[in-house]
Amino acid sequence: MQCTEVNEQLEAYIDGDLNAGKCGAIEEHLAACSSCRRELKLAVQIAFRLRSLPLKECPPVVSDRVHAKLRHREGRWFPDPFALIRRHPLPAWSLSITAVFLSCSAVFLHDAWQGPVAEKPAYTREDVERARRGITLAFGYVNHARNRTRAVLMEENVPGKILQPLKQTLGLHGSHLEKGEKS
Amino acid sequence: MRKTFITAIPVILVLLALPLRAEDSSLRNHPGYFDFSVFESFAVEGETVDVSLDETLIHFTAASMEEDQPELAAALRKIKRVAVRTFAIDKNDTEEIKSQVAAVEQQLESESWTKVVRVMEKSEQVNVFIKSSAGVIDGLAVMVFEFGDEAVFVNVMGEIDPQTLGKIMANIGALEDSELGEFLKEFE
Repeated sequence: MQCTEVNEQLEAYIDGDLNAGKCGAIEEHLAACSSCRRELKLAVQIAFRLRSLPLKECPPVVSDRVHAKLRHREGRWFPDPFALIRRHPLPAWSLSITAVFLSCSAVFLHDAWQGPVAEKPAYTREDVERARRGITLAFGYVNHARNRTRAVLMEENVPGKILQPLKQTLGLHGSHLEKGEKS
Repeated sequence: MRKTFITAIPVILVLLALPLRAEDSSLRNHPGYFDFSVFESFAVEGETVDVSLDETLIHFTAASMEEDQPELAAALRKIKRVAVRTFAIDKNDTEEIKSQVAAVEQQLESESWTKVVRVMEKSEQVNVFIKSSAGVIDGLAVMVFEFGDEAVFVNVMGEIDPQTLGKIMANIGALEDSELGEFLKEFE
């Protein structure tokens, strides 16, 4: 075995990736070659120092690219929706603010949505007829009140602007005001 | 992360409930809103009527009248709420009801309601209140107590000028007392 060939395979030898035959040949050469032994010693030191270095986290950009390529290879072309959150975990307060913002948006959208909905025919003919009769009933009681023989229009209470029109509407006049009657 | 979501859930729920609350409070905050629920405790077993029409339904009703009675339809569009509540009352509660009425009248007056019509008879008491601003009626409240028989409460809310009220009264509210009874039966 030549020195060049041994040097090329030293790394695999150190990592234990070679078969027994190749390992035997390399060891036979090392026993006879001091230069290759120095190379081996140096390679072992480098490997040892590399392994003792602290692990550094893979930059997210690289990680995302690798994952994207892997997904692509696996046939998943769509992006991971949680990748951003995993990459930049947000503090609790910022998520709360986001939740409040989204909720406010929902409120405004809800209000905006109410307008057109109100215009749609959401009621049946029976509902409308019942409502019409309900209105009749309500104003029927106003009528009932003014029709009482002892009904008193309390003129002194009624604001000036609406006194006359209200008198006409209710059909009650000052003559209904009984002597000494107070509010 | 889980803690954050747990913190956010109540906030989201409260905010999502806001439109419902807002709708309810906008009705209650209207100057013409009259809350007659304070008399509910006097209700005894018997026939009851509970009619509550919101603005949307009233406007729908107005739209249905547009062709035949355009003037009335226009008048109804100014109304935001119509509520009628009737229930039976016991003769034994007469004095208590009268004192409650006096308290409610004071409350209404403190809220700038004005009693415009009063009927005081031995067996019947009728009061009509209005709340107005700048020549417009914001609310109309009618309280009828036929002691030993029934109590009736009416609240009409909106921006009703007296002429509008007159138009509605002339077109839709001109019921005789005997007809009122027939109408009531439909809602019982």
